[in-house]
Amino acid sequence: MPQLIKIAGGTVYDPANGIDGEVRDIWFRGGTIVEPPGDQSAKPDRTIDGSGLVVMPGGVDMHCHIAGPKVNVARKLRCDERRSPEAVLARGRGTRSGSLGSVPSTFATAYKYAGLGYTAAFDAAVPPLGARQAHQELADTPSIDKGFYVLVGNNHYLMEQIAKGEPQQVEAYLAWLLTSTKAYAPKLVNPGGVETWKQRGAGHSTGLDDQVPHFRITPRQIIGGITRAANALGLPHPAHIHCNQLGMPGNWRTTLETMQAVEGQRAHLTHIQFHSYGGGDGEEATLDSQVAPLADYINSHPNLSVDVGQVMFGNTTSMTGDGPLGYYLRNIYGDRWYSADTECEAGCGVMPIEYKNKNLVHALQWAIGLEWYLQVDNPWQVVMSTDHPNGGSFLAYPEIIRLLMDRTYRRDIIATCPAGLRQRTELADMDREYTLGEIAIITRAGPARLLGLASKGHLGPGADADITVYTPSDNQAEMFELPRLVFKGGELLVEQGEIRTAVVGQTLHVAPHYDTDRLVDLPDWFNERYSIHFENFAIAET
Amino acid sequence: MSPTLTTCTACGATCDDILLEMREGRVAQAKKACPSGEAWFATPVAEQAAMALIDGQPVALDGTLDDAIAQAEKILTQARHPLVTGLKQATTEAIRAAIALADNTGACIDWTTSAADASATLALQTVGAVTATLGEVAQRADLVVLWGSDLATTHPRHFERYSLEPSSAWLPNGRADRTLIVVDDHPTATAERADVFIQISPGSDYEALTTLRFLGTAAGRASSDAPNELQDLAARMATASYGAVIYGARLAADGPESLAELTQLMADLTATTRFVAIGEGGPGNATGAASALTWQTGFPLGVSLAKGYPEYGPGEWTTEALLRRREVDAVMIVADDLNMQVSSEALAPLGSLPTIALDWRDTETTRQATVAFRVARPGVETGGTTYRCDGIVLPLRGAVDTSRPSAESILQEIAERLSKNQD
Repeated sequence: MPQLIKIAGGTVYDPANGIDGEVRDIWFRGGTIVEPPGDQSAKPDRTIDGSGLVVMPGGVDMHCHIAGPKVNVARKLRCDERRSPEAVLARGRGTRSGSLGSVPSTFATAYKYAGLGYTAAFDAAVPPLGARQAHQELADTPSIDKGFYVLVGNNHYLMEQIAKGEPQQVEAYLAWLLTSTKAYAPKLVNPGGVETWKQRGAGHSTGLDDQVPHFRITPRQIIGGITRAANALGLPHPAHIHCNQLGMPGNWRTTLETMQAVEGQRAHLTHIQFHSYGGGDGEEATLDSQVAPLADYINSHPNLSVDVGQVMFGNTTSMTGDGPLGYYLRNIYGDRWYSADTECEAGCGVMPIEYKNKNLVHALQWAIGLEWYLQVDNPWQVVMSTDHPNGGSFLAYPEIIRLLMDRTYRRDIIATCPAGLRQRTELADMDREYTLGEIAIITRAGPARLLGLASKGHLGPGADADITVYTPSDNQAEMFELPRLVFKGGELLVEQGEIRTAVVGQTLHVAPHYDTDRLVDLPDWFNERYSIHFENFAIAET
Repeated sequence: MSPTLTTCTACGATCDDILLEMREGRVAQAKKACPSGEAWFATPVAEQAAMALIDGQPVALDGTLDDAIAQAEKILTQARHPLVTGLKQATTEAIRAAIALADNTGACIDWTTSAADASATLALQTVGAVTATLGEVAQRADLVVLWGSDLATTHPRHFERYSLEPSSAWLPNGRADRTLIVVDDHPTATAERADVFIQISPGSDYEALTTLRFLGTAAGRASSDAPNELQDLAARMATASYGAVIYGARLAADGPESLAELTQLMADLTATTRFVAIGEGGPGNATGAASALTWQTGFPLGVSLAKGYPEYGPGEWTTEALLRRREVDAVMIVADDLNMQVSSEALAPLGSLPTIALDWRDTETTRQATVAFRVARPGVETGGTTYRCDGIVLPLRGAVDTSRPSAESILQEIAERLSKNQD
């Protein structure tokens, strides 16, 4: 029988079970949290002294880019970042070597997530045709549980069926697609807008009611059709939406319309920071924060949730399934540009990017991100993310926690930004400070619930023994960047920055039930349009 | 027995609709395969009874590979500067295992055998790339420019599958709805299929690409100094709905400059239309080798793991450079006939070094190896995956049972033994 282990006397933050900083014992055996034995004299096989330490469930990153074709191209593109000895990880006992930079190698990604106390992470944008590569990369990403969302917002079959008014066909195909690619959730990226870019090139508007050429459909219809199908299938995370017009001044209206377009159904809007801009007509100089009206809508619509996509100052790499956005950024930054279209499915843009605190637009993006955390009343509806590596690395999470928990520190950073910031955001006047319990929600309990991961993000009996133990500090960034202990499935992964084991995590995916008879024509449809054979599409191998 | 669907890696078209019919353990027929593909599937597997050779002598007649694996392990243990190379005809699974072994032994690992192999990567790192999967070309490209590429000869099914004949909602009449322009320095079989053939002088690819970029500017349009054919091409490119350039190996031969210029041309054109560039691709799984090396180490080629962590050295830790400079003291060659690919200067030191070769073929490389493993043939005797040149990963399937181990299983076993002995 596996060992019975007790973490004794830690200060436990387990918001899913209503525990907000109580001194308690956590018991686990064989990878699962168990009830404390009723018999007071029962002894564990091993006791870990948690007194004076903070105990939380393992972190869950619900939106990052860690695997798949565009991530790997970004690694190739950014070899320039990894030339210094600080940018590499040496191999160790039982661990592989790797390299860091804004887009770390797979093994390094896993060890760094584990080292941060995160035990699950989800890549947010894999084209269906890239699924096989994404699985290969995730197989080389040990330690943590992981998965990916598959791109559907510009999928030819879905657009045709939605245009025809065939909701059951949309459902069957969506279920088939998730099953075939072994994906965890459907992801919409600039719905309809990527297809428009493929047909018309740059500079065409893709507001919610603009027609997608040839397909006779609008982004609004795509959003509605896929969100309905995903909810009808009962998917654990029905719709993960990257709205149209990312980064464009004045895009907040499109974001608000998107929130309305899901018609009260469950949906998640991702990296919302990039979609909350006032100003007009592509004029960057007019940019300002429009978080308030959008956060108001979230606050009154419990069906909706967001992750932030926080921008942090420094060098990073932008990567997106939004091809036209890539070209837009290329024209702003003028550095190396990678663009790739994937047949029948998606686009892709990758480029180096630097966010500078002295740049008013960048400072405003940073502030808008923080506003989002501070303006959503219910922390269960807002999730921490940097859209790694787009806004910054996931390694910045401890720093974001400090910015949220310490308003004095937050104001110190605001003071380094251009004075014009004050006219465009109310961040400096916001007094709210997050508590540790609220941090536990936005970094683990909340994302786990939004992903429908019943055994993650909490410490109740039956939960996975994914546990992070921190040493408290007045400097919250220091507290969160170097956990005392990290357990994954009951195994000690990391102890004070030292990797103890690199157990193989699972790749999580869904396999919803659907009516296979509805898809009898799909092989012919597929073989007429794709450059690969239908039978080679589904992932058979593990 | 019903035929087995598999993928052909004889050329960069990577056709994934091949139906293998087997008879007595051999490929009787490879349906849908072109003549190159038929020849590829008819390539004889190494027939000796032994699963391994040590110094050319059969071992493992009893079916156990212990002696050969011990010998390979000894070579790697004694080596101070081993090189792991080949990989171009390996499955992605074998490549992953080879990188793990290189990490474990502090080896250099690389898949290139020439400067040209590295050009597309180096161009990407300089300016990026503007590209697409081949299905986009099939579906949308109303203008196809083949640059230094004789697909009709080297990739016999490329036209049928991707670049010329497919019809779609946007190109209902297939070939008739496309314009094919061939740019080359000599007449080719492909040029005969073209709507327009532009013959440029040898060595002038870079200049022609620069001219096309200039012709896309206001100053360029106002000037009439450029050759008429290039003016005509620039005008056609600017007015295409979705254009595709498919480039051949020559564009990469002298380094990344021409490919970088091509990418810049694609980026310039994006201001007014859509244009993408895709390599014609070579045989095998070089794309997969670069890909797996990148995700595991962060670097696509020429990786040294000697210091315990990955370092990147194109031209320094690439196969040709390491062999020429005699900087390695043992070489492991995975699934490729290195002898046929590197220069004679690089080949010279190889003869005096201990080498470990894994292949399903009987080649110069396996015959000269200190230890040679005859592994199962991917796509015929065993499964796996391979990368098409546009990055799409395709399954290879085994059509027949074999007792021979896969390359990855041997690599994993060597790595395990090395790890045990380190403890």
